Amino acid sequence: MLRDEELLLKRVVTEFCESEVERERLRIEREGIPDSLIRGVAENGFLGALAPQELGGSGLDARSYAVLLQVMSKYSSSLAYYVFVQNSLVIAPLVRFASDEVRRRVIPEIASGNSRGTLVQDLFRSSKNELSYDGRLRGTAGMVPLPRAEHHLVMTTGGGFLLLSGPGEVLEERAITGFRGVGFGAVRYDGDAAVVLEERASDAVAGIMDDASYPVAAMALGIAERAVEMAAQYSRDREAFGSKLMEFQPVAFYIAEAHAQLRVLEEYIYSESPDPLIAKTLSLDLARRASRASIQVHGGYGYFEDLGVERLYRDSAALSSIAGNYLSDMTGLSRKLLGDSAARI
Amino acid sequence: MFSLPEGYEEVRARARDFAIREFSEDVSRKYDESEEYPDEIRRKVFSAGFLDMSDPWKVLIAMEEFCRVDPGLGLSAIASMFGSEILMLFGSDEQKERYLAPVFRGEKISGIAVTEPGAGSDVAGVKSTLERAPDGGYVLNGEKMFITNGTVADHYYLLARTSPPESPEKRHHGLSVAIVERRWPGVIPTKLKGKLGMRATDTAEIKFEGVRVPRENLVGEEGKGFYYIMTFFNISRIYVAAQAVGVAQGILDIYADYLSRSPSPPPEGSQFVLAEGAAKVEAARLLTYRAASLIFQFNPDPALTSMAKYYAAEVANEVAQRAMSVIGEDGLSGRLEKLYRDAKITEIWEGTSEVEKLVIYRQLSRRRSS
Repeated sequence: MLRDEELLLKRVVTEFCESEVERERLRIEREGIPDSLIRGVAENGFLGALAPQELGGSGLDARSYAVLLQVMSKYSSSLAYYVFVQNSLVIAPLVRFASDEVRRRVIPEIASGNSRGTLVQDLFRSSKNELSYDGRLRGTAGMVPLPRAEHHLVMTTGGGFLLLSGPGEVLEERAITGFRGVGFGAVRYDGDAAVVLEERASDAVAGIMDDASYPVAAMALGIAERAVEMAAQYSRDREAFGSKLMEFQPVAFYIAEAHAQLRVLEEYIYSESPDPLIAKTLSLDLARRASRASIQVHGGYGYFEDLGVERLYRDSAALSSIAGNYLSDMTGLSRKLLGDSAARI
Repeated sequence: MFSLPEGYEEVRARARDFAIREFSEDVSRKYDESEEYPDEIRRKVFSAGFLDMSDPWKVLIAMEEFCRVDPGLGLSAIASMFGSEILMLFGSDEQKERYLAPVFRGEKISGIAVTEPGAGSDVAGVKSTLERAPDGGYVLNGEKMFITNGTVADHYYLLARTSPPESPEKRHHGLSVAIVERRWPGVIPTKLKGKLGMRATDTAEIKFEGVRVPRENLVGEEGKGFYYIMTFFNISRIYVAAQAVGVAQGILDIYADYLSRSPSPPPEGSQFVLAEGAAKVEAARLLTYRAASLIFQFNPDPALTSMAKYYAAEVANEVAQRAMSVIGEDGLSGRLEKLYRDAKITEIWEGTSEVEKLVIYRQLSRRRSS
């Protein structure tokens, strides 16, 4: 159950999204997030959600941050992912690992929307990054979110964790399945960087990803919630064979089943001590299923970007892969339950 | 027992080679991003001999193999003959000569215009009208939606109402099929962009404003259009099943490659994704071929055809989601994510999965009661 202050935050974020985000929904997907919207997000304190107040942030706790991302994800998962990258992948690691000088220099800039941050990691061997540091950061990295960001937190091949301030050279930008408003690309680095952590960067990144499970669950919940709401509304409006779609049992059952699972998951996620990995795996599964069912209910109309249903389908797939994947999540869950040797074969 | 007729493994190999050669990643990306109709690819597919309606097995196998590599490009090429079965079965000799022959020569493109803004699965709910004109022909008014080849087809096989239904229960009466040329006055096609997948295919909404349709362009008998269209769907659905089988196989190909690049043996969880997917794809393929063999012997079993289409689409989407979930970041750009997006439409077009289940139920019930 949400507490009073969380309910208030939910109302504030909803009002912001209704008035500022909803009308930009398609533009975000086609052209990227407009600067004016980034300013609005910053002015409301959402960009620095996890930053301490003395560094220009809102100092939200994990639950309030989850509320913010869940609501925002309903309206634009690209925007929610942008906020997630700034907070979970950049601000939170800087708060945890960086020197006081770096924190004071970078975090207020990001929280105010004056500059952007990104995390370049190699946790899943997929990015095939080759990054070295010998006083200068050199090398290239694969799928970097927000490749044109001003601050790049980078895990080097040698195990260090560095902050390059000043953009790298973007080699190629390409759309991926989801979060089309954010942009991903390959980046070449050659510049001075501040050392955030000299060694064991992979442990640090693993910790960042573990911490990301809970906000990812919240974003997935937002996607599922939107998918269910849109399917429900469409089933009330659309007629076929002389009846409303909702009058047909299979359609009503799709919606009712997803709604029931959504409500239970929401209760769990905002319970006193939810397991982040359980919340994440179940929420992602629901987001994928609910968005697929929602397209199905919308038929041909759901297949086009105008209504915004198909982006839920794409974003749920992207979210499932972008901060861990099914195998890493299930292995983590198995080991929590059964011990370190679980799921090794 | 079912087995694929002799000689078609060679067709499969040729189609596979063609798709790998012509549907390169660069070509795929170009058409996926631009949403342009790939007319150049259509011409190449025709020249290579795959668009041969006298040999439906060849078309079906080509559809499967093309969709294994790039469903948008493959379908665009093969669907250039979309709706031809309607004229083959119900058209006059003159209509076949005038409209079918140029399509079969690769000179023209056809399309089928059934779906409307307010009538998708509910085919009998179409509102477009063909009203009798004093000259004995018709005047067409209405609007069609999500029409494949809408802006590139030379002509459409269009379903519209020629007389009001006798009762709500008999809405499927009084509908007729007419051949309508895209360049006629009053035909206004508008390309629709922003699809989730199959983005190389041309999709349009088309307005028809006072379009004069000659009497000789009516297909078959007036008022029998619903029956003609349902007969067509019972054939065309098998090609959608083949699309889905191809998409699913393409995903398994990518997933198997991914596992083979792993420096150490993949864990069993990853292995099972491939094993389970392969079993389901093979089952979907066999079901598809069995239903196709009955159609191609002029002895269709609509229940089996709908089972094939429903099951193959289900498998394609399930395999897509599982592969994406396991491969993770690497799957978010390139062929896998494209196949994931392309797969979804197979659960929607030519009858949604829900419509297929209704067909299956009704056919099975009819058999029990008879």
